[in-house]
Amino acid sequence: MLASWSILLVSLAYLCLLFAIAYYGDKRADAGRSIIANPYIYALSIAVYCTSWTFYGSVGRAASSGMDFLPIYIGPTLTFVLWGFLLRKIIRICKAHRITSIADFISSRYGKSAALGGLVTLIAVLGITPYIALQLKAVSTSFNVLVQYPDVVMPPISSNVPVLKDTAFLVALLMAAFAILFGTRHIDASEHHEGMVAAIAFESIVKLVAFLAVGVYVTFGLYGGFGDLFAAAARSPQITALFTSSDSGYGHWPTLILLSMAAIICLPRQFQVAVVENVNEDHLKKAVWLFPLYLLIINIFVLPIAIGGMLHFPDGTVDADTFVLTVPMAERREGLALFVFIGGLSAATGMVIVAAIALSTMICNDLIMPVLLRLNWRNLAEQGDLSGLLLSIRRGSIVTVLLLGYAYFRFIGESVALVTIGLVSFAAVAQFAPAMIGGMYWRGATRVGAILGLSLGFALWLYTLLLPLFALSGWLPIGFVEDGPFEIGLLRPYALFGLDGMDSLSHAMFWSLVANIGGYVLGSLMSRPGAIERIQGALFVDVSGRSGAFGGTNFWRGSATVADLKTLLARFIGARESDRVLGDYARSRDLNLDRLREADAALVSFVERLLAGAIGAASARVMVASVAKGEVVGIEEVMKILDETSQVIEYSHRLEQKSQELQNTTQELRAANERLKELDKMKDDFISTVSHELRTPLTSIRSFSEILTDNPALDTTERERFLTIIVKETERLTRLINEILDLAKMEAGRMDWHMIDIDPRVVIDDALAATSSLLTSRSISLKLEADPWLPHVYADRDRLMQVIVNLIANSVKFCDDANGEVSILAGQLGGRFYLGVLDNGPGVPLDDRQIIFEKFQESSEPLANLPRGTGLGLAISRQIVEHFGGRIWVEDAPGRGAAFSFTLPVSRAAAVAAPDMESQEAL
Amino acid sequence: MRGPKRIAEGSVATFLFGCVAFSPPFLAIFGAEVFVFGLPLLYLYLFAVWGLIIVLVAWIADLGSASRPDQNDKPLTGRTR
Repeated sequence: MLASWSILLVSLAYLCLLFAIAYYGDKRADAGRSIIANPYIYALSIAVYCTSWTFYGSVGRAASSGMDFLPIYIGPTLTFVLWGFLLRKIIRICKAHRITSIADFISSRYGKSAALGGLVTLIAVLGITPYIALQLKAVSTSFNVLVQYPDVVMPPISSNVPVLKDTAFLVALLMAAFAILFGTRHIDASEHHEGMVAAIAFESIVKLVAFLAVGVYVTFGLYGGFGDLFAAAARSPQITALFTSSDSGYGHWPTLILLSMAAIICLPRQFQVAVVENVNEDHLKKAVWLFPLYLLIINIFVLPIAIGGMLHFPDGTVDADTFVLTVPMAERREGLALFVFIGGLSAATGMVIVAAIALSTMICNDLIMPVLLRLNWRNLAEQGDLSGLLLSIRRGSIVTVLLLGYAYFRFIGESVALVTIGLVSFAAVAQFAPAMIGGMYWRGATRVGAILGLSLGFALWLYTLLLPLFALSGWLPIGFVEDGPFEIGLLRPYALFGLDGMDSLSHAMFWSLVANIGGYVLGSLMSRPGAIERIQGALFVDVSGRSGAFGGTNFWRGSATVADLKTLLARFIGARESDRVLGDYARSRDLNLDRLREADAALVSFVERLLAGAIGAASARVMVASVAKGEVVGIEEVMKILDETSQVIEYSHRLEQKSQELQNTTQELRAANERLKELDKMKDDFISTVSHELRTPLTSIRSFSEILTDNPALDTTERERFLTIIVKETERLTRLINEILDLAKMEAGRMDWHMIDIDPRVVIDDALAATSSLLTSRSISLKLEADPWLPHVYADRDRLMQVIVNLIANSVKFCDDANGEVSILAGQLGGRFYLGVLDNGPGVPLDDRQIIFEKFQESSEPLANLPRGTGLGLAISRQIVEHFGGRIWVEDAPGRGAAFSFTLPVSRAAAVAAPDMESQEAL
Repeated sequence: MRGPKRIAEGSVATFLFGCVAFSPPFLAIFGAEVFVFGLPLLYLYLFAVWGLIIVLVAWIADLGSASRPDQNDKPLTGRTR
């Protein structure tokens, strides 16, 4: 048994829980440890989009026209696809200008125009009223249905009930109280309501879980899953029509998608949660898919619940808008029904609280304050703290908005389905889209254009959508709809100028948007923007590029005293808060505000932006103008400033490019210079080494010759010995000069190469023959291990032999004195010809393995007892091998000693012949 | 510079895909009285396309965090110095 007091108790307990969450969120925010600074809470708070419309109305819509409930959720998904173009830019603009509502956004873009801000506020209030009525209707209906438990009876029409006994009226008052508690406890310059966001996010979870609970219960509890449910549905042609195209068709889907695309950014409450309450732009990246995912999940069970309800109540006595509640009730699921009621309450309160707060900010900042300021700001200026006045205005606005919503519900909304009411609101706020999006991308859009477009669009919305609803509810003669005003057929609101055959919503959207966009574009083209309009236009369009350099809009030419500004700020946001922000400002700029008398333009602009956060851009301008002497700069000056700055930017951009190029060139030059220096040093080293190397044998030749000349009496054996030395040294000299010439030729690329296809085996044998005298003179054993078949190489025979001889001579020189061993390995390595010469000498230290292939470089190991080489053999070998396209290196031989190896590419002829050879061997 | 451009292109392509997939002609085609796995074809189609778009958006937004999308946001003064 559910008594009304128990339902009320649970509801109140739930609302108290919400308030506790909000209170905790605010406390944490004050302590600087925000609980909402993550993308998940952000995405959940955007889900305030899902209201009673979604919770109760979607099922009702699905029961009457099938999948028609869905485009309202596909539109936001598509808008979020374009987040990089729209949402992110809006957030950046709002952060740069401290914009706190959509009215502020549009007014600020078009020259901080108070008229425009007021117009937007008016449209928003009138447009959102039906939407709030929708929530009131849903809560009161669901309450009245639930108290009848266990009977399922539709409640009576509430216009027969006195206002004070009407549930909807009590709900409206309760929600107003709640919105006041949440949103207007104090005036904050940044207009963040962290506690409210936390509560909204929590409500989003509750409504999602409640709806899914019913969905799962209907699909899997009453039926055996989706298959069973749809099979049951398929037996009824009336229900089958809901999910096949035999229904009315999908001509209105584009309209619905377009409407909801605009609504997700133009609805004041969506603007509030998605833009104003955004604490970190990076949260968008996750929210852009989390929020659509939320929409998708909550919509999965809409059709199943609608089908379940239709099968359950086939006679049509139960309103389909209540199926979510009545199906569990009819099945005697008391707990589930109560949970559903709380979920619906969540959906409604979330929307009402945020919408009321957003609208009250707009009413206060963009409607009432400008009027008050204009009427007698002098009187106002004499009062002390104005933050109290601001709060009262906002609280009054919240109550007004909710009472308006109630009035709409009582007089018009009673007979209309939830979704129809909501769509009227969507159509109203969609009027903001042209001025808003146009203003972000079109510099030339003007205030006149925006006002013209908005008023025309709004007028047509009023005429084609709202007034007919008044007529249908009996507040206007019905002839207004059927025959047109004064029986002028062309002016029939549902078939304006004879445009017949469209559904009323598409019809209204067509005319209002045509008039809106047409007026906006024409008005902008026909008028000249004022100074501030131009500046703001440039700032809005280029927000991402200039946010750093142009953060402040310094179009105050005059100045004000610091004390005046302080007082002004203190009056609107409180003395403590104003001291704090001004202190922060002074610290960040190294100023001492106590000693500074005259504030510069930057400080004046800073104060203006702070004020804009609290009372709106237009009012802030008026207030600052009241204390700032001097005037706003004129149009010529603005243009000059803008031109100059853009020229400077362009110029510095080009300079930057040039300097980048210069830097690159310098770097290249420096590198080339380094290389030249290195080469020069190498040349010097080479010459000095060569001279040194040549002088050694020359000195010995000369000294022995002198001995012979000076001592004719020398005995024959002695003479013979000296002559032999002279001959040997001469030979060495010749060899050295030959090698230097060879190397020089090779390095200069003037060597004559006789490249032919050769069998390396023959060359190896020749080289062994040539070096045999070396071996015998030092009793060294030599082993040759060659593959039976060696691949042919393409090389110069003599040069290749020179390399092998060099390597053998080198190994012989360094191998063990007592029992020297030199082995030659020949074969294939990785598809190349391989030859290695191994000795059992001391080996080559790791550090020397690169440099021994350089000219005149020998291993640093002392080789006192060994004959000196020319120091060119390995260098020449490397030149030759590399010329053949091979590689030469040294490593440790197995055991001890060094292994000099080189590889050469196999000649093309051999590469082709090789497989044949192998196959023959295999045979 | 590659990252932001890719995001812009990907976003616009996904958006256009959505516009086409949810256009009346396609809805009429998939509105046939056909059941797939016991589910009406239209129901299945709408949620599948929707889910696909969400996956694409998540993927594209992720491209952005991988390749620093906010290069344009450096204040000009910082670059010219």
